[in-house]
Amino acid sequence: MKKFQLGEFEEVVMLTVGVLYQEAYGVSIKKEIEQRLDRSVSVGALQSALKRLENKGYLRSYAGEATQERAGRPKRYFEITAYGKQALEYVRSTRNALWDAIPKIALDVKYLS
Amino acid sequence: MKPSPPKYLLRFFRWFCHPDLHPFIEGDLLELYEERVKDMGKKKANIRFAWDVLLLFRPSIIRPLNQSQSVNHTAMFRNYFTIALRTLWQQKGYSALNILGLSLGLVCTFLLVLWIRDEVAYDRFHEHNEQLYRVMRHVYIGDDIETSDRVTWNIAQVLKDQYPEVEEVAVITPTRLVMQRDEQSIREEGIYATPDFFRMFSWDLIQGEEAEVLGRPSSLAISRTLAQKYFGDEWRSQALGSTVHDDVYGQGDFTITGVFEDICFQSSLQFDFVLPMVVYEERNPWLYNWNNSGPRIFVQIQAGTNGAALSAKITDIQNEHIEGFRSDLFLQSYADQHLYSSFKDGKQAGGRIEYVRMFGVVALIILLIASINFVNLATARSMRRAREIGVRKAIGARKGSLVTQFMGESFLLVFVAFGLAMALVILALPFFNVLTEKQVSLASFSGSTLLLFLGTAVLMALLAGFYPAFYLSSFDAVRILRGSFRLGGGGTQLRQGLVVFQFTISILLIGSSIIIYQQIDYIHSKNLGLDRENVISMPLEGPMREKFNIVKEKLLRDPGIASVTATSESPLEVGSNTHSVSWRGRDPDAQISMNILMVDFDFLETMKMKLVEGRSFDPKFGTDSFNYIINRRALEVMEFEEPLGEELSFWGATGTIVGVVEDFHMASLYSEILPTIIQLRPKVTGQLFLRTQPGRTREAIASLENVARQFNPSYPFEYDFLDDTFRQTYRSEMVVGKLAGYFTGLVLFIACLGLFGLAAYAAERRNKEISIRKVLGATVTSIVTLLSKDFLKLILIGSIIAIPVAWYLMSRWLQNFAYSIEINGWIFAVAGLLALLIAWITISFQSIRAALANPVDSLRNE
Repeated sequence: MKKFQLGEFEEVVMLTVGVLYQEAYGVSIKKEIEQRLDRSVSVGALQSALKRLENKGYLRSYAGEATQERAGRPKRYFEITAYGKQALEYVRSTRNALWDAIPKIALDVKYLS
Repeated sequence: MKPSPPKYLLRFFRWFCHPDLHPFIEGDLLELYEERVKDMGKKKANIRFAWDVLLLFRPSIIRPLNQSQSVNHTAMFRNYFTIALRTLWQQKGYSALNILGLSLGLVCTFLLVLWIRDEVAYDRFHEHNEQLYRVMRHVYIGDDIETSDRVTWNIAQVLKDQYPEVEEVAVITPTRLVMQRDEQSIREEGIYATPDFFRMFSWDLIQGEEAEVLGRPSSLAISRTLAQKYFGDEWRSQALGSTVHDDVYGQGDFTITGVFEDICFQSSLQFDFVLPMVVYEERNPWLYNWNNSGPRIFVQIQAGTNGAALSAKITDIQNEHIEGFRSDLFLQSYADQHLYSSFKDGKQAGGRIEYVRMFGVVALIILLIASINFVNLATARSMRRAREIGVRKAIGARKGSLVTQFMGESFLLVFVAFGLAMALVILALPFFNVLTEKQVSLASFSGSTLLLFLGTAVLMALLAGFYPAFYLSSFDAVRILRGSFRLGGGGTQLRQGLVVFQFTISILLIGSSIIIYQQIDYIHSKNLGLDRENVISMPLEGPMREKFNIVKEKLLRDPGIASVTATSESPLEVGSNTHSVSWRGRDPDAQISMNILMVDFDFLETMKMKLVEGRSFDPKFGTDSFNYIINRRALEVMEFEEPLGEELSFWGATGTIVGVVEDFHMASLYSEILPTIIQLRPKVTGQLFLRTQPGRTREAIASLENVARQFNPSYPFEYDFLDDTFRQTYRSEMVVGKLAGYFTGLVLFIACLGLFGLAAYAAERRNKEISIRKVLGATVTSIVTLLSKDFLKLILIGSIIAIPVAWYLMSRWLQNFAYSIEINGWIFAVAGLLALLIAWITISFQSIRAALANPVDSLRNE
């Protein structure tokens, strides 16, 4: 049963939104991911992921104040919803369950080779 | 000032971005941009910016196509539709003009598209189409290069043996066969061909095996028509295996080994039967001589090989075996032979492709002219719609939706016109087929043709609707509703420009048609140096030929027959020529080709050729078979002061010149008159010519048939009129001339439809002005002049532009002919005046009506 739909990139974005708490908007999320995960993120990919997450109800957004350095354009801040939190927890618990289910020997082999 | 990213990228982004997201994302983009400018400079920042914008172009970010889903589009479109129909209905006259103009334009374009598609499809139906080529040669004759597809038989063997690229080779040559049906002899046209012929080309064999059809020397393949003709409806069981006996041409007995589907008319090769080439080879040993040519050779190259490369390699196959002249071989793609048939100075020089291009351009022009009518009428009458536009805008219509509405109207009109045009095309097809000598049927309307038609209609709707839609939707709502709206001058100028364009084209076409007609007329009436009226010809063969003197005597007993002669070839198409004539004082290095025509007594008399000096051949002089008559052109080449009595020798014989005749045309008027020697050789004649007394043709034919039946009972009786034969040569010019004439008429008509509408509108708009003028004492003439002046001025400008263009184009066309008319200035004067006159009549309808109207009617409404 697919309870929560969350792709890898979406998960990263959500977690970053959580990390940034109150300061999560387009550019800051992008920078945070780039810095922490050492991968480049395009504005397009990020924005469409954000939109998708918002549509799914995992995130919600609100318009921030207009600032001078953005030529008067307001920021759009994101935060995780309760439903989003559930989704993250679900993902985490399924992963953990999977980790726990791996017999030790399987991982030993991997270290040997 | 802060650095800002390229404006157009930002605009592009704003254009496509979803309006809800746009300010935030743009903010992000700008923030990033600013930072990047600091970090890595403006240039790199710009590139990254562009990249970001590009990556943002994805479905989740792009704005939805319909701005607001909530608006009820069906209702809106239904409203547009209702309004369009009401407008159409309210202005019946204009709608009829518009629809008629558009549909006539479409009809012309469709017919031209059919014609062009038919021309282009020629010879392309063979399965191996891409690999088929025909062997051609450039023969160097003096300073001229003649190009022909008649080549030497031996080339086929060389191509087969020494060129691995060549897969198959077929050799063909035309022939005839006399077949019997119900005691009647009928001559059929066909070819000899080598066995590969059926394998290379996709002739559709109904009966018989491809590999064996021409396998034995006694094989014979016939067409379905022939099979039906000689074996009736039972041909499927009767034909195969039957024997055909032809003793007329001494071909012998043949057994039918195959029946093929009739050759479709889109094939350049046309034949009703095929005989094995070996039969011809055995009887014509001259074939094997490298100096002789006659048959046609076709090759099929290996798939994937380059025909052009092979063409370059075979150039000298014949040159290695011959001396004294040069004959460069080359390959022409088989499918190109119909459209690219002309060669000049050893280079491809057009052919029918020129007509295809010409009519392609004409089709586009007609489309344009018909669309212009719509543009003109729509913009001229836009005042009537102004209030509607104002109200629509006031209650919130965007410019875009108005454009949609007006484009929709043009599509609606074109759609109606399209239906009408399709009906007209179907009605006009039989007439079109007769005119163009084609066989286009409804069945040949493939999906792609219909698609092309639809595409044409859409193009027309766009052409016609584009400008009015943008023009009308740009009206200022406030000014319209306040009542202070006046049409600017821009629209008027554009309309005037378009009218000038229409009439420029019309006058151009009129002028060109007149010149094409004149040239055709010139060809027909040109003094050919012989009188081709009242001359009947028939093939001279069998006993009739052996007893020609008795035949002649019998024929001359009919008072309706003035004179009788026989020749080796028709004097209108002399084919045999030689380079080897020698005379006193000839420059030994000069290559001079001379035509040789072999005739019987009374030749000059029957053809009514004029003697310049000397005498005609006469039985009273026993030695005339060694005497020659030359034409004036030959005299010029030989440069004799006193030609009579000079000696000529060629083909191993020497004789003296006894007469000089006026030049006469032997080949088509595309080529020049060649020096010609007429020789008395009753033994080698093959065609009988007789001149009838004017008006007694029927009796003459009756006695000719009598004599023919008596002497040649087993031969078919067939005869031709010399002037018919001559006319056949210029058939394609005549078809093109007729087509050009009809299309010119239609273009002029369409242009006049538009003018009619404009004049009507002008008269309507100036209604009050005219009434006041009349009240103040203006005469009808002065008012008609007032209304006509503006339009006639435009047509005058049109003719001034058209004349030089037509002059240039037509002088290029006339260069194709060795003998052509001079372009006269008066032709264009006539064309211009004609257009002016027709336009004036068109306008007069309206202006006279306006001028005659009672001024009270329009003034008391105030």
